[in-house]
Amino acid sequence: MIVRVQDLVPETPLATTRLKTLLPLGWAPSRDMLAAFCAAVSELLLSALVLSGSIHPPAVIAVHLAIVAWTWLILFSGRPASHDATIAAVLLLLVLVAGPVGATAAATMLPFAAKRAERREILQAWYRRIANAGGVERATALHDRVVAGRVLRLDSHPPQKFLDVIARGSLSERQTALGLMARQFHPDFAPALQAALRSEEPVVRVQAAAVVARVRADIKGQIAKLSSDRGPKKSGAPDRLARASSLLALANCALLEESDARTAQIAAERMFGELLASSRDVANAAFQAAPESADAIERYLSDSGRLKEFRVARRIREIEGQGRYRIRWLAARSTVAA
Amino acid sequence: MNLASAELPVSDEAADVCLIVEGCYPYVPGGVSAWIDWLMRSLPETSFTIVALWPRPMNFKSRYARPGNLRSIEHLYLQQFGAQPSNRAPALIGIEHLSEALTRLMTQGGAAALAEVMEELTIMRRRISLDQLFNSPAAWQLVQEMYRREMPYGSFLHYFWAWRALLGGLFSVLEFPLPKAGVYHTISTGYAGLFAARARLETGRPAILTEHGIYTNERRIELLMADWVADTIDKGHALDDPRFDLRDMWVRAFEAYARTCYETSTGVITLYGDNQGPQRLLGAEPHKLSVIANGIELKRFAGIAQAKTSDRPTMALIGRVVPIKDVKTYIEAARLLKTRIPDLRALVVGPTDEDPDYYAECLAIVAEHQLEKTVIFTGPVNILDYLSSIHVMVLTSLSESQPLVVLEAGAAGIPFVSTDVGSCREIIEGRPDENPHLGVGGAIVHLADAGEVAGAVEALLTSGDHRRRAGEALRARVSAHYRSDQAAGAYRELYDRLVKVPGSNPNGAA
Repeated sequence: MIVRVQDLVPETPLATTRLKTLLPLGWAPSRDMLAAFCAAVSELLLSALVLSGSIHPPAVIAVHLAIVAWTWLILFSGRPASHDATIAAVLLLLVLVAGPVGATAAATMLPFAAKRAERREILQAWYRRIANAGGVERATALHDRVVAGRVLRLDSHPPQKFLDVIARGSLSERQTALGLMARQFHPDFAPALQAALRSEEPVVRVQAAAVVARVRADIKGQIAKLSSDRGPKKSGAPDRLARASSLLALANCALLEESDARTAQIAAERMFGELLASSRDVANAAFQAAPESADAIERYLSDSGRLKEFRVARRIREIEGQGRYRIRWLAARSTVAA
Repeated sequence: MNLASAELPVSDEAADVCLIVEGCYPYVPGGVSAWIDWLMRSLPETSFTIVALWPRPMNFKSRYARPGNLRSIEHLYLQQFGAQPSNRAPALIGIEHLSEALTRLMTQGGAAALAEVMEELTIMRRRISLDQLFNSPAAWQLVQEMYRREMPYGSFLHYFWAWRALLGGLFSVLEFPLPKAGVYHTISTGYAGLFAARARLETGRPAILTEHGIYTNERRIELLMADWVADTIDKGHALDDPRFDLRDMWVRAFEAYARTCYETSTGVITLYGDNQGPQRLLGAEPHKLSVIANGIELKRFAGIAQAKTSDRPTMALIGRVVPIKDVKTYIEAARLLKTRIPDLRALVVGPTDEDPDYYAECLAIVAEHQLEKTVIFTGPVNILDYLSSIHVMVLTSLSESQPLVVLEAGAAGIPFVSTDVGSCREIIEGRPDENPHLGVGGAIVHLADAGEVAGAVEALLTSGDHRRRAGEALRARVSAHYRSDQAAGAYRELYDRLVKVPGSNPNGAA
């Protein structure tokens, strides 16, 4: 069967593209206020003319309609279709029905409405926040997660060893653990996965096999990324060492297909070799940066038979904890890099 | 896909059997589709209609010629539900009852829960159609109600879209016109199983289920590994955190649908005994469970001669060259074996074009180890032409259900070395209750363990007696338990019995 659950999910990503429909529609308060002001002044002038008796009733109606038409023009001509026209329509209706009273009332009330519209930015920010859109401050996002109860529970039990879970956990625990291993794979999970592949429980075996298939594909991608020549040249020595260490860890991961393991091993050795050959300081920087890198370098030096350099590296490491001055002093005499 | 609909118009007359299939027949060849084609052709006296479930219309072409007893194929699209959004829908009283019923169906499942939902929706339909309801303010009210009940601390936005997907499928299934039939036979749980359960409740006709793999388990594996399901709650690596998240919601819904299907089914059939454990765990009652294994036509393999001991030692993997078959482990096993059996030949018999990258990687490994004269990719061929030159068959798959290739090897008397997947152990070693025990037809090895594969194959290749005994044991077991006519007979008997079950007149259904 080729229908996956993913196929059943509508193609509606939770991305900012959806935000458009959530955002309040635009409003142009200045244009509306101008129209209201002009209409009010015109209608008041018309009223004055009527009161002074200098204009005949049919003409009053004609002028009133002309003012309405003029107001309509100001309000709607060239107005973007996406803009909210509610207030403009109400304004026009007020001018049409209530003449000077309506226009004056609209002109008086619009500034208040405009003030309200200033909150649009706040509303927008709120919409962005509840839409999980990008650009929400990390502190705000964290606050929301804490309030909603979605953060890691600090009072929960420490995680169990996956190997123990696979050996002794309930079926549900084993399946959840395998799901976690698939989504957040680390080479250290390999023994647990191997144990799952040999489980007596067919359901666990099947899931473990699916995880292995996925993990192998993921690792292959990781190896290609880590051993890529594009990134490392730009990045610093500690980063390159971390990459090389990761490659070495992947190469030693028992789940890997032999060809991939070899690719990772070769790439890791090449990176270590380049780094160690580049300068003495590189090795020292690495020792100071991350203990795992130092482990990997020592392993590399030992495996490749560069025992003299290994001894020096180990000595540097031992002294490292005793103070920066002594390390620098040693570094100047180091033979780590040939 | 609509082409098939046009070819096979909907029939007004009740068919004997309505098959409910998800994502396969007649557009995806092999596997379950091949089984459905076999079933219909094996029972020419039985009339069939098919409800094919798909997410949405696809541009697939039918891969099977229509059997004469297939009356119609109707397509149910799970993600095409709902009218245009409207604010004009009437305010609905009793939405909280519907919310409760839906929550129960999607969390616990069961016939009563489904019946309750169907009843609530019948009441709703008097005021608003289901597709209008799905995109109405009432639906908004419904999703909020259910969110508050299920995961009030989770992300509502994510819940909303998951809810839409789950409920869209559910409503599609509940709204689709039921074809008239004497028996409703679903080939999986999930939405197809729900459809059969609904048919059972609505028409009173029997429903049965044949599971090839355990659908719920396949969905669970997919969901637990899926990156597209957001983890809205940070549980770290804790396995005992009781907080409910989207992943749990999806898994729980499919489990609930499975329970509903198992409860409403008259019979729950599977291909092999190992599948019954998960079925029981999901609530299938033991008295409903049975095994009807797939079978093959023995006469096709009757005249095939055994490979001679003097022939070049040959092992073969028959299957597509794709990662799930773990061909690389097979190649590695060949490399290990070659050091012990220098003139070894390791055939890979099957199409190589499905995953060209993987095939290229396999070729690279072969080249790297200079195995070009040992490992031979034949491409798609007639396997009957090869069987007489093969001493041992191998299957290194990571996942299988009941692979026909094991049965075919058995019919030809060729011993088999297989990973412990699907029903391979049952076929090779026999069921625990096999009486008399017919012997072991080869060896079962752990997954992804080339050394173990190599060891097992070596034992068979280097001992003619051992190989012959294993081949004969496998042949005897296949002849006794895995014949095509046996499987067809079992279904014929089942259908005959169920079609005659008194109850609603199938022609009155729908």
